[in-house]
Amino acid sequence: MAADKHALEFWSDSFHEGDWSCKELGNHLPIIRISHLNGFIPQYLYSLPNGEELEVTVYGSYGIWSPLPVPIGELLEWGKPDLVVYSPSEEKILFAVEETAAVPTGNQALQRFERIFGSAKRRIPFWYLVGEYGMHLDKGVRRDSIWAAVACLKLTVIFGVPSIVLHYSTKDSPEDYNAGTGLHSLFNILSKFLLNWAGVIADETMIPELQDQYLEMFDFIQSQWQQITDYLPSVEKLIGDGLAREFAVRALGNEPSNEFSGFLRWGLTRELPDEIRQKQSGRSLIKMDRLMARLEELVESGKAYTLSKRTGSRPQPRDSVGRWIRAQEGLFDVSGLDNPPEFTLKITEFPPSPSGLLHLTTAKNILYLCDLWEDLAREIISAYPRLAGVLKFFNAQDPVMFYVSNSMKPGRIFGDPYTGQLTNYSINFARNMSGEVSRKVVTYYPHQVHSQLFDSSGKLRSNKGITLMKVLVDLAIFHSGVAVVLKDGPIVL
Amino acid sequence: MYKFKVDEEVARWTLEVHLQVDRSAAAHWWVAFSNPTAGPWKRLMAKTGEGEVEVYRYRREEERPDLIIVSDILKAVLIVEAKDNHDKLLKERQMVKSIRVMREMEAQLVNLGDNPAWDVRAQYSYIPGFLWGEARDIEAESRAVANAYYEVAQVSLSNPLIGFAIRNIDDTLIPQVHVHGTLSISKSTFLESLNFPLIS
Repeated sequence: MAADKHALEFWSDSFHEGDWSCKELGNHLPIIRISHLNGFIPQYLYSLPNGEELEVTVYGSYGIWSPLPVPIGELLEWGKPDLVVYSPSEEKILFAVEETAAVPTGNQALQRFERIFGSAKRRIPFWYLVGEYGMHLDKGVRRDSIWAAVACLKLTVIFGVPSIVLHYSTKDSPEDYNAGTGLHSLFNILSKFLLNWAGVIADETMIPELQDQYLEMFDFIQSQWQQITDYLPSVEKLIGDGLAREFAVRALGNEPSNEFSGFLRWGLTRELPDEIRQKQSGRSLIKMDRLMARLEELVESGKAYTLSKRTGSRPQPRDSVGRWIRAQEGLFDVSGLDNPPEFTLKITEFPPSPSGLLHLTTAKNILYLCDLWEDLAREIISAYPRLAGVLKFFNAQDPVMFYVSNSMKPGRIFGDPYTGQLTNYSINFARNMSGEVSRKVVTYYPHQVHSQLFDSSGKLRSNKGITLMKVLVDLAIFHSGVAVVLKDGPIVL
Repeated sequence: MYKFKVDEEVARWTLEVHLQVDRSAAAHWWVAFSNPTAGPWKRLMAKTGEGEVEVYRYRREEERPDLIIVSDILKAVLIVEAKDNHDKLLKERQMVKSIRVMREMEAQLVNLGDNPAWDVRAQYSYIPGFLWGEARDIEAESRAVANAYYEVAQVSLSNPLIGFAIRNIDDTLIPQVHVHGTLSISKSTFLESLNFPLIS
């Protein structure tokens, strides 16, 4: 008699990734047969411990298929995970995976985080397999940032689903998928999730593996945070099997533990530990910008703080900067605006590096945690007087997360790595463990014009950058002080 | 069942599947490198007695071909550039890039003679190849691609060039091949090694 057969679809960014996932899964569930439909579509048949079978069909390269299942299409609005496991009979995504060979350094470290958030928001379990150690362009070995792992802890608690960072590679074998524990751990837990979905094992059976994964995230954060930030609230509590188990239990949808309340909370400047607060000081700019100079003054006067002084600038070729300025000017459209501003970007305002490249970086920080909206609003109006009288959205006492991207290439802010960076910071610094907004989010793009948000008919364009801005950003300020409210609009000021 | 279109990714994958699944083809050919649209595959691997060994790792910004396949029996290495359809391969800018990538890759591989995992393969015949999907008239399309190649590369028509194309026959994808120029082995031996299905 034929065994009962469960059917799933593995959707992936390429056939290689889907096929590779099936083979890795074969290290945990025995493969009975591999075949290819239509001469190219891989189909794997696995044996389950209870005698039933699991048939997995691989659909590589999302864009070639139609109709794309609706839940997958919705998830892809937040970027394309490398693997999405889909049950066609239930029209439901079981989980998603991102695995990256990108070097986890600098801006790259947080790219793709919007995919993690997009999944968590839909209560889709998500695993992010990333190199712990990577080779930087300068040939040095760098270690991953903590911010993805920290934000995943928050997403786990907020949404009650697994949101997990796993690491591969070691210091001696950077970028090596087979080094470290991440790869084995990933497919071990995925096989458990599949067995749970097939009714072979109970929820509780998955807790030990999930607990181990959260414990590994704690250990990574503990050993790395001081290289990334001067301050990480409640880091001393991120230890132990007990807390890791609480995260694992919450990841399976159980009620959140009381232990999470107040966790990873970024308070006001006066609430910082003395030694951290005393180290805060305004810094000079690399390239002058009126608003960023005022942000540094807020830090200097104890009304805002930054997280680290380990920041730098990556100057750009002069011809690229010239080309980008011309392109931005071509896109600049202030029709319909009251008190319309002028386009003012000039190549002469960007200081040269010793090698003749041009610095786009304004302030040395990209993130500021401001205590009061009224303080920040005053500085915004001081830098851009045309906004006087119109910035009336928030309460004066609201704390604000202020993020600046100095990028100039048109459209760049709507893609990697900026979308991931902004999403990650919004979760880490502007949401509490209940998912409530703890800070307003204001973003600043001094070298990008607002008109890029709109198509030729004046409608908001559709891309993942704008999708996440609509959800996460309360106020976006573009070149020449054009302010845009996306959440309930768009309203362009 | 979902409908699909045959783009570069599908064309390349279909050829890879055939080379791995068809017993005769798999006995002759193995994939040293594939460049899917996404994923961590940036290493060129060589078959050895102890399994697969990395012999070359592409730099982050380095141009790479779409597929490199090797036959130790025929002593040949095919460096393949792929596109959704043959029209895209014909564009001069694309052809210039394809030829540059193929030549640079060949130069890298013939210099790997000191690497025990690559070894004598440095002396093999290095043959350029093109691959495309949406094929209708493989012979005419391949001739057009070959003409463009010979003109841009400025090499003699006797230089070998392989055209791979993917036909869609009632939603089943079938790889086809067309040989241009002169191979160091007989054309029939080469075609038999691939063992592509015949289309009536």
